[in-house]
Amino acid sequence: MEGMRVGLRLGTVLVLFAAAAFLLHSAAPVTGAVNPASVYAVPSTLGVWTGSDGAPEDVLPVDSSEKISVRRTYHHGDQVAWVSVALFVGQDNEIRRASVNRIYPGRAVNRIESVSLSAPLYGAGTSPVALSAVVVQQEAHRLLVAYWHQIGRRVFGNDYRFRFALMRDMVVDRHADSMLVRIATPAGPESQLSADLAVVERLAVDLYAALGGGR
Amino acid sequence: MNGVIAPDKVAPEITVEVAAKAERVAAAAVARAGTCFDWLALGLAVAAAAVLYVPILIGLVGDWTEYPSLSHGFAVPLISAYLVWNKRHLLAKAPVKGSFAGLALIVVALAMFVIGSLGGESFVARLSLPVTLLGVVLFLMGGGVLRQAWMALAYLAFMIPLPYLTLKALTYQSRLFDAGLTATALGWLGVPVLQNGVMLQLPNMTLEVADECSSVPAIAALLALGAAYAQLQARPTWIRAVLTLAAAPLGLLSNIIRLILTSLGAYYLGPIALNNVIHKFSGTSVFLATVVLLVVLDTCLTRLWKRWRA
Repeated sequence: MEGMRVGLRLGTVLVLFAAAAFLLHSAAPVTGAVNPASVYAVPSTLGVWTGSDGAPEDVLPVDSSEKISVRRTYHHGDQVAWVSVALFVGQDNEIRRASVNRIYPGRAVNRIESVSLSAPLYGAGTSPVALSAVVVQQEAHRLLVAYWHQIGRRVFGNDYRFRFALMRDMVVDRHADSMLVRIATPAGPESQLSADLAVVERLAVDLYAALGGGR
Repeated sequence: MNGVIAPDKVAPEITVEVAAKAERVAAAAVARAGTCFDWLALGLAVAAAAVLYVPILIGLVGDWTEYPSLSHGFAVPLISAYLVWNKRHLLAKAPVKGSFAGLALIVVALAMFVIGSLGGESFVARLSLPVTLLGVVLFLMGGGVLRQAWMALAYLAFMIPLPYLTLKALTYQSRLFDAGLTATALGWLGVPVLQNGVMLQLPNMTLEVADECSSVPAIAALLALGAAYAQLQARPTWIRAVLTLAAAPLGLLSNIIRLILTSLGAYYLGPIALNNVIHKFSGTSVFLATVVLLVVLDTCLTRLWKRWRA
């Protein structure tokens, strides 16, 4: 009787293991999504800013995992801003995890400070979306880098929320593409930080609208 | 209060009958020691789990091989097996009575495994392995066996690298902390130093407390080391707990000492202090220093305990 009970329990465990294996092996491969936002929609002018192709790699590092990217340098008077919009696909690949090291400069950096930034990306009447932003100090230079991850029109300023949303999309829909949108500008001293943030906020709103986010 | 009998109104014969019934139930519930069949069933279930987790295990071995700071992962399953072996006599005598709570645990663990695997979140999928094993032991063998084996199974969690995002954030904070403490210590030792974030500016050169110099990647290894060391001999539980928890701060201390020595070497000897074998094998030197500090702490605590008992 006891032996039968143990056998039944073992059978239950094996059935559960087999079910898990079946679920994994019968799952469709992760494919690209039909993305309403397009990397190629990065405009040559952003509001009052005029752009040209390319952005320096030591300001916005290039990630070998990105499928395609559009990188531009914008000028407005004596101000400069760099923008990179990169598309990532096949995000169930382990190699993708190192991408967090390629968002802003990491080498020969004295200090990296997170700063608070939010922008009304979804329209003037909507609540602002919190974005990730850091001030990177390299010797005498300070660089303000703001970035967000975008799945379709959804914006994620928090890396953990983005990973969670991506995981949900991959498990449920089996397709997920995402974009990493970065804006960088030279940052002035601490006293000018709010003015620098205001510039980046304006650029973020215009860029999101241009990418197909809509206002 | 309908239908409830006040305790003082219960007849003595009813009390005796209830007590006798409770005794019978308790006697039926007394679990037996495990038979060969029980252990064979457990062995089969663990082997099936190993087959199911082959892709996860391959990924883990790949990480342990690729990143030196994770290479302690190779030792973790061996130490876990040793911990089980150490308890073999107690496990043989432990009462066997499978619990359905184990089934719930297996279902939760397999859900983590499937969601983590399909969602590309290896940490979730990997963490499900020790949970699955805990569930299997509880379901097939029960709480008596699990009480003896849980430490060895939970120990397997040390072989799993932290999520990369968390590791990165912790590493940067640790670099700042390490640089601050090193600069303070160098000041006390009479070395002129200016700390600028993670950079230490000495009169003759600038040193960067890089990711590799941070204590954080080694923390998991050091915690695993502390937990294993604490289990090696029969000790009071409190000494085991202290040794396990002390491994991480002792590792931090070892790393700070290494950074101070490297900075002193850079100040007095120049670049040769950075371009040598000892600096290149910094992880190993921190690990060895932590072992020495753990042994010293263990000796002190054991003497203190013996004196207190006497």
